[in-house]
Amino acid sequence: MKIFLFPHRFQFIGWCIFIPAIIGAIVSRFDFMTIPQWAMTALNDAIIIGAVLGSVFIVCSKERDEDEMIGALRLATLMNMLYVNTLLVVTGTLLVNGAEFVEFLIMNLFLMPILFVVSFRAEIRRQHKQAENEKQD
Amino acid sequence: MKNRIKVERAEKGVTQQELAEAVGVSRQTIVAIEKGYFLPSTPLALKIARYFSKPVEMIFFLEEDD
Repeated sequence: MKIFLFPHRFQFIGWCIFIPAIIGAIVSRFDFMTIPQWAMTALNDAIIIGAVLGSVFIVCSKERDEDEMIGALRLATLMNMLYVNTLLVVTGTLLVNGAEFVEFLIMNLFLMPILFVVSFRAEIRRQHKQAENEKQD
Repeated sequence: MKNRIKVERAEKGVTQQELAEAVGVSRQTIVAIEKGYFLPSTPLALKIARYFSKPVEMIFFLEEDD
Protein backbone atom coordinates (compact mmCIF):
# COMPACT_ATOMS: atom_id res chain seq x y z
CA MET A 1 0.00 0.00 0.00
CA LYS A 2 1.41 3.38 -1.02
CA ILE A 3 1.48 6.01 1.73
CA PHE A 4 1.45 9.66 0.71
CA LEU A 5 4.13 11.86 2.30
CA PHE A 6 4.76 15.57 1.79
CA PRO A 7 8.10 16.69 0.32
CA HIS A 8 10.86 17.33 2.90
CA ARG A 9 10.51 21.16 2.75
CA PHE A 10 7.03 20.85 4.30
CA GLN A 11 8.74 19.90 7.56
CA PHE A 12 10.15 23.43 7.87
CA ILE A 13 6.79 24.93 6.86
CA GLY A 14 5.18 22.71 9.52
CA TRP A 15 7.45 24.04 12.30
CA CYS A 16 6.75 27.63 11.12
CA ILE A 17 3.00 27.03 11.55
CA PHE A 18 3.08 24.70 14.58
CA ILE A 19 5.24 26.73 16.99
CA PRO A 20 3.32 30.06 16.64
CA ALA A 21 0.04 28.13 16.94
CA ILE A 22 1.13 26.48 20.21
CA ILE A 23 2.46 29.79 21.59
CA GLY A 24 -0.82 31.43 20.49
CA ALA A 25 -2.81 28.70 22.24
CA ILE A 26 -0.93 29.29 25.51
CA VAL A 27 -1.13 33.11 25.29
CA SER A 28 -4.84 33.10 24.42
CA ARG A 29 -5.57 31.26 27.71
CA PHE A 30 -4.85 34.50 29.56
CA ASP A 31 -7.62 37.09 29.26
CA PHE A 32 -5.41 40.16 29.01
CA MET A 33 -6.33 40.89 25.42
CA THR A 34 -9.43 42.90 24.61
CA ILE A 35 -10.14 42.17 20.98
CA PRO A 36 -13.50 41.98 19.17
CA GLN A 37 -15.37 38.69 19.16
CA TRP A 38 -14.92 38.13 15.41
CA ALA A 39 -11.14 38.56 15.78
CA MET A 40 -11.08 36.16 18.73
CA THR A 41 -12.99 33.57 16.66
CA ALA A 42 -10.59 34.01 13.74
CA LEU A 43 -7.60 33.73 16.11
CA ASN A 44 -8.96 30.53 17.68
CA ASP A 45 -9.57 29.04 14.24
CA ALA A 46 -6.03 29.94 13.13
CA ILE A 47 -4.53 28.44 16.31
CA ILE A 48 -6.38 25.13 15.99
CA ILE A 49 -5.77 24.78 12.25
CA GLY A 50 -2.11 25.79 12.72
CA ALA A 51 -1.48 23.21 15.45
CA VAL A 52 -3.17 20.36 13.61
CA LEU A 53 -1.89 21.15 10.11
CA GLY A 54 1.61 22.02 11.39
CA SER A 55 1.95 18.72 13.25
CA VAL A 56 0.84 16.77 10.17
CA PHE A 57 3.40 18.60 8.01
CA ILE A 58 6.17 17.92 10.56
CA VAL A 59 5.46 14.22 10.98
CA CYS A 60 4.17 13.37 7.49
CA SER A 61 6.95 15.03 5.49
CA LYS A 62 9.75 12.91 4.08
CA GLU A 63 12.89 12.85 6.21
CA ARG A 64 16.17 13.72 4.50
CA ASP A 65 17.13 10.04 4.80
CA GLU A 66 13.64 8.61 4.37
CA ASP A 67 13.57 4.82 4.15
CA GLU A 68 11.39 1.92 5.26
CA MET A 69 12.51 2.07 8.92
CA ILE A 70 11.49 5.74 9.23
CA GLY A 71 8.15 4.80 7.65
CA ALA A 72 7.71 1.99 10.19
CA LEU A 73 8.58 4.38 13.07
CA ARG A 74 6.02 6.91 11.80
CA LEU A 75 3.26 4.30 11.70
CA ALA A 76 4.23 2.92 15.13
CA THR A 77 4.07 6.45 16.59
CA LEU A 78 0.65 7.00 15.03
CA MET A 79 -0.58 3.69 16.50
CA ASN A 80 0.76 4.56 19.98
CA MET A 81 -0.89 7.98 19.80
CA LEU A 82 -4.21 6.32 18.94
CA TYR A 83 -3.92 4.26 22.14
CA VAL A 84 -2.95 7.32 24.21
CA ASN A 85 -5.83 9.32 22.71
CA THR A 86 -8.32 6.54 23.41
CA LEU A 87 -7.14 6.28 27.01
CA LEU A 88 -7.38 10.07 27.47
CA VAL A 89 -10.85 10.32 25.95
CA VAL A 90 -12.18 7.42 28.04
CA THR A 91 -10.61 8.83 31.25
CA GLY A 92 -11.79 12.37 30.45
CA THR A 93 -15.33 11.22 29.66
CA LEU A 94 -15.56 9.42 33.00
CA LEU A 95 -13.94 12.09 35.14
CA VAL A 96 -14.81 15.43 33.51
CA ASN A 97 -18.37 16.72 33.11
CA GLY A 98 -20.31 19.79 32.00
CA ALA A 99 -18.56 22.87 30.61
CA GLU A 100 -15.20 21.51 31.76
CA PHE A 101 -15.63 18.61 29.36
CA VAL A 102 -15.67 21.02 26.39
CA GLU A 103 -12.48 22.56 27.81
CA PHE A 104 -10.99 19.06 28.07
CA LEU A 105 -11.87 18.30 24.42
CA ILE A 106 -10.19 21.55 23.29
CA MET A 107 -7.07 20.64 25.30
CA ASN A 108 -7.14 17.18 23.72
CA LEU A 109 -7.18 18.81 20.29
CA PHE A 110 -3.74 20.32 21.06
CA LEU A 111 -2.32 17.53 23.15
CA MET A 112 -2.51 14.93 20.39
CA PRO A 113 -0.55 16.91 17.76
CA ILE A 114 2.06 17.86 20.41
CA LEU A 115 2.47 14.26 21.59
CA PHE A 116 2.60 13.02 17.99
CA VAL A 117 5.39 15.46 17.05
CA VAL A 118 7.39 15.01 20.28
CA SER A 119 7.12 11.23 20.25
CA PHE A 120 8.12 10.84 16.56
CA ARG A 121 11.03 13.30 16.77
CA ALA A 122 12.28 11.62 19.99
CA GLU A 123 12.22 8.22 18.27
CA ILE A 124 14.13 9.54 15.23
CA ARG A 125 16.67 11.11 17.58
CA ARG A 126 17.04 7.82 19.49
CA GLN A 127 17.73 5.97 16.24
CA HIS A 128 20.40 8.51 15.23
CA LYS A 129 22.03 8.30 18.66
CA GLN A 130 22.03 4.52 18.54
CA ALA A 131 23.79 4.57 15.15
CA GLU A 132 26.29 7.15 16.45
CA ASN A 133 27.10 5.00 19.48
CA GLU A 134 27.57 1.95 17.27
CA LYS A 135 31.17 1.95 16.19
CA GLN A 136 31.39 2.49 12.43
CA ASP A 137 32.96 -0.70 11.08
CA MET B 1 14.42 -13.31 13.01
CA LYS B 2 18.20 -13.36 13.31
CA ASN B 3 20.68 -12.35 10.67
CA ARG B 4 24.41 -12.61 9.95
CA ILE B 5 24.85 -9.28 8.14
CA LYS B 6 27.66 -8.22 10.47
CA VAL B 7 29.61 -11.43 9.73
CA GLU B 8 28.98 -11.12 5.99
CA ARG B 9 30.16 -7.51 6.07
CA ALA B 10 33.32 -8.49 7.91
CA GLU B 11 34.04 -11.26 5.41
CA LYS B 12 33.48 -8.94 2.47
CA GLY B 13 35.23 -6.01 4.18
CA VAL B 14 32.43 -3.47 3.76
CA THR B 15 31.27 -0.84 6.23
CA GLN B 16 27.68 -0.27 7.37
CA GLN B 17 27.69 2.96 5.37
CA GLU B 18 28.77 1.20 2.17
CA LEU B 19 26.13 -1.50 2.59
CA ALA B 20 23.49 1.15 3.38
CA GLU B 21 24.31 3.08 0.20
CA ALA B 22 24.34 -0.09 -1.90
CA VAL B 23 20.85 -1.15 -0.81
CA GLY B 24 19.40 2.38 -0.62
CA VAL B 25 18.75 2.87 3.11
CA SER B 26 20.35 4.89 5.90
CA ARG B 27 23.18 3.60 8.10
CA GLN B 28 20.78 3.81 11.07
CA THR B 29 18.59 1.22 9.37
CA ILE B 30 21.52 -1.17 8.84
CA VAL B 31 22.50 -0.75 12.52
CA ALA B 32 18.91 -1.46 13.61
CA ILE B 33 18.69 -4.56 11.37
CA GLU B 34 22.04 -5.93 12.59
CA LYS B 35 20.95 -5.48 16.22
CA GLY B 36 17.58 -7.10 15.49
CA TYR B 37 15.58 -3.98 16.40
CA PHE B 38 14.09 -3.67 12.94
CA LEU B 39 12.89 -6.39 10.58
CA PRO B 40 13.56 -5.48 6.94
CA SER B 41 10.89 -5.84 4.27
CA THR B 42 11.20 -8.73 1.78
CA PRO B 43 12.56 -6.46 -1.00
CA LEU B 44 15.22 -5.04 1.34
CA ALA B 45 16.19 -8.50 2.62
CA LEU B 46 16.53 -9.67 -1.00
CA LYS B 47 18.65 -6.62 -1.90
CA ILE B 48 20.96 -7.31 1.07
CA ALA B 49 21.26 -10.99 0.09
CA ARG B 50 21.96 -10.04 -3.53
CA TYR B 51 24.65 -7.61 -2.38
CA PHE B 52 26.45 -10.48 -0.63
CA SER B 53 25.71 -12.80 -3.62
CA LYS B 54 24.00 -15.32 -1.32
CA PRO B 55 20.47 -16.72 -1.01
CA VAL B 56 18.35 -14.75 1.46
CA GLU B 57 18.06 -17.72 3.84
CA MET B 58 21.86 -17.73 4.20
CA ILE B 59 21.65 -14.20 5.64
CA PHE B 60 18.37 -14.24 7.58
CA PHE B 61 17.14 -17.07 9.84
CA LEU B 62 13.88 -17.73 11.63
CA GLU B 63 14.06 -18.19 15.40
CA GLU B 64 12.13 -20.71 17.50
CA ASP B 65 9.39 -18.22 18.40
CA ASP B 66 8.95 -16.80 14.85
